[in-house]
Amino acid sequence: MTKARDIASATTPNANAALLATFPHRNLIINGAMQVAQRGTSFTGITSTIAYRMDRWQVGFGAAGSNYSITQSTDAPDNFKYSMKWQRTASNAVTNSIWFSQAFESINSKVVAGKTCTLSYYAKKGADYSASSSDIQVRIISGTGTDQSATSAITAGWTGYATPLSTTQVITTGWVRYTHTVTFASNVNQISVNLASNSAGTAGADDSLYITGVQLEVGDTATPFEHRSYGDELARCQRYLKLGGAGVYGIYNSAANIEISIPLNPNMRAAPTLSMAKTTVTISNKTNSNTATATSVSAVNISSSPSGVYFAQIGNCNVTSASAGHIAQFRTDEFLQLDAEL
Amino acid sequence: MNIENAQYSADNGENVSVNATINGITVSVPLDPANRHYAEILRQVEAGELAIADAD
Repeated sequence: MTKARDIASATTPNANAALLATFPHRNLIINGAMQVAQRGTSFTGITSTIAYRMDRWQVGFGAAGSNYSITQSTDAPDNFKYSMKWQRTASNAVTNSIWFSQAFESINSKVVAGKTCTLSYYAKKGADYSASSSDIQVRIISGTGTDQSATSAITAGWTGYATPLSTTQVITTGWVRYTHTVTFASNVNQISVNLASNSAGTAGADDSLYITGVQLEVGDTATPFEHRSYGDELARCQRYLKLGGAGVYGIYNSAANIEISIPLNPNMRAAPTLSMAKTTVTISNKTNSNTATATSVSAVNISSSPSGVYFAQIGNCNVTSASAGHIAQFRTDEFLQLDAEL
Repeated sequence: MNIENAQYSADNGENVSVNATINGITVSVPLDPANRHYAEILRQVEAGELAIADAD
């Protein structure tokens, strides 16, 4: 059989699972192996905050009294380096489900419309995982709107909201790969994959849950997890989150403020929200050869485009005897965070 | 999304972003409806839950 005929025969979903397993780009999930953690690798004392943690994974929907942590863990199945570990703090009694969500852009969702797909993931529980049936919640949400937020998917706010997959999965203290099939309506225009803890009672010392190897693919059979290189996965994530810092040049427009520009490569999903990952920043004034560290740096977004060159004003930089027109170079890694998540 | 202290920021006399504290983090949000923070700001303004101060 020729290669062309091989590929043609595989257009029937998973008619030849072994062949399909060799195809790249079949996993629609980004950062399914939890490799990329641009925001950090450990988050503790989380209560009701809904926020992105490992890249592309939004975690949240606790309550004011919740108390849990999210960690990029090295406890992982064979051939995986990382998992995402959720742990409820011992003695905490709040049992709100904590959702791990990845919402897709509409441009990346249409491929599943009218198709049967397979969700797969590896999961394990800690010794004191509290769910009464040792289970987790598994849900795929679909909508007919365009690029609505991950948060509004969980709160049933999407236009045309539906749950073509909504089930529970019993897990054990060992790594096991679980699979679920789901069939999408033909008018689906956006999807979100969601997994959740199912806490009960008061947390013990190891009320934890680990997840990795999340894969969603077209077809009714799970193929082996598509391992992508860190570089490939990082580039995909940078459409949604980009860090900037050391080496960026700017020009003082006053004694305190520096205008900077950062090339956006790849283009981001939308014009990004700008925030400070670090507020203590070292600045080298290239005009007067004065280098110093500012301790309460701020930032104001000026750009309104997701492509080309991003520009902003960095404030409270009056530490290098600068005046308007001086050239500055930043010397602190990754102090700027550009966020264009859904 | 808990949004506080929302204020426009202007460049050359034109509003270019909204500075705010969102979930306890100081951010600068572009005026792009596709940006999830700006979309939520617009929703809260429409619902009468948030007012955006003029730029300084």
